[in-house]
Amino acid sequence: MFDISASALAAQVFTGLVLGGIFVLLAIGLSLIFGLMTVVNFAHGSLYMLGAYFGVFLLGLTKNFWVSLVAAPLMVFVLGLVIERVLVRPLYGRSIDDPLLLTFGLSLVVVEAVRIVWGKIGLTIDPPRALSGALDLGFMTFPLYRFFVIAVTVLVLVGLWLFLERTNVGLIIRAGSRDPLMVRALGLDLGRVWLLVFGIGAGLAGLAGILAGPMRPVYPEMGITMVIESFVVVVVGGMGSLLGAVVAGIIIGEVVSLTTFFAPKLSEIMVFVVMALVLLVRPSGLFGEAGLLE
Amino acid sequence: MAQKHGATIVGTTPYPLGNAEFSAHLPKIQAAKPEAIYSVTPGADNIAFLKQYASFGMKKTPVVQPLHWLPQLKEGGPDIYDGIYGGTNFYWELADTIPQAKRYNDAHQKRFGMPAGDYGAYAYSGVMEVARGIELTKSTEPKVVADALRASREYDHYKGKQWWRACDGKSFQDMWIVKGRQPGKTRGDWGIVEVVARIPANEELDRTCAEKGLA
Repeated sequence: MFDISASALAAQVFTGLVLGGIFVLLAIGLSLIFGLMTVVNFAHGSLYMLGAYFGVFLLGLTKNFWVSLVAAPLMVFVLGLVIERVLVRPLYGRSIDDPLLLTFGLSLVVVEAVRIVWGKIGLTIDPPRALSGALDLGFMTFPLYRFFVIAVTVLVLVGLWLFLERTNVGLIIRAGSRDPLMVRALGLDLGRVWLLVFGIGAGLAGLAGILAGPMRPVYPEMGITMVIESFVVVVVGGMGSLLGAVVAGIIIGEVVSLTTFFAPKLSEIMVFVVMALVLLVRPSGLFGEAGLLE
Repeated sequence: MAQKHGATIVGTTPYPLGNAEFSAHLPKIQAAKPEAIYSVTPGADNIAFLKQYASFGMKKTPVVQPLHWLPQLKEGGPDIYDGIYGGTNFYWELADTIPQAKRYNDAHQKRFGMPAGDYGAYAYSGVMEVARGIELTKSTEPKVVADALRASREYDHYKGKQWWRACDGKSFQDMWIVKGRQPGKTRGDWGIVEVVARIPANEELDRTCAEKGLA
């Protein structure tokens, strides 16, 4: 039905790569919170949705995309701090199911609250003027805004890596995820560290939300498909591995893109087939540490 | 159906309902070089599709959609719907030309503070039609009411004459083709599109009951 030309295939591979980058952005916050705190944050999708709604709210207030892009994730960050301090903290030391159930319940509450505050009809965020065009790449035209999203994703990844590997706080966070008892014995306050990690993870979900606004519709249930996409990326990459999230995001992006090209009806199921295959061969994901879930 | 109306389908690319990501489909659509894109992407999917279609620099290829839905037009706004074609069973601007539509839309505006939408109009017409059956028969027995409506097939509750087809109980009615107005030229908050054509009710546009296996 479609002639498979080299340029069409190149366009498809390129689109998959950028889509993979977007999947990485969606999944980082989830991966961070799980990898460092072993909390499966089911409210990730709701925090993403809140990032987009705070973005709409701030855009209406300031008329400035760039201010909103910074302020909306900060608002979700603060909300993340409150969620950790008030709801998640009492559950540390219990089984992994408890925070999972709690955050799942929380996600339902947040969706309902947003329906009450902003209504059931969705909203939109326009990309800033400077980024609303498309770029002619020769083999295809591609939206400028998606390049911007990828640039932000790379910045976030580099920033996170520097923070975790090169700062003292990062050192404590990593030590705390390996052996919390020992870190406490050294007289360090892990509570504050986990508070910060949860806040950052939430803020990253919010950032993904406002960045998704110009590409996708903003509506109360927008986090539901997103949280599934994120979980697939995190599980394939290995729970808690940032490198894994990057590799898995790109793999999933290409799987979606190429399956869409050759057999569109299979594009949704293929993602899960890949996930199942990876889990069969490597039960803790491509780059995951074994034993985190036990 | 496409062939019957002189169109050729150069490609199709199905997507999973409820998906917000169309980027993988867009280069494939570009590669097929269509003269127009017929997109069946309901609800929030439609906003996602149109946003991404525009961002990929594809606006010069017109988009035609089977059904527009008023809250969705409001949600997407004029930038997204600029130049997009859609079908609809009712659009509140019909009140300018059709007295029944004006009566219905004025009542809706007064009661709810916004113009009448399309699905709401279906529901209104449906309820009024059942009421007509009850008035005709002075009965609330479903079969009696249904038989009476089949015997008196024509009705008109909000936009002009409609009728029931006996063999499958389908309501034949006028439909309209609307097109998104340019941003800045919209009519208030809800006047995102303008009516470009009326498609009079016509049983020949549909499959016959024989084709549907009902006769």
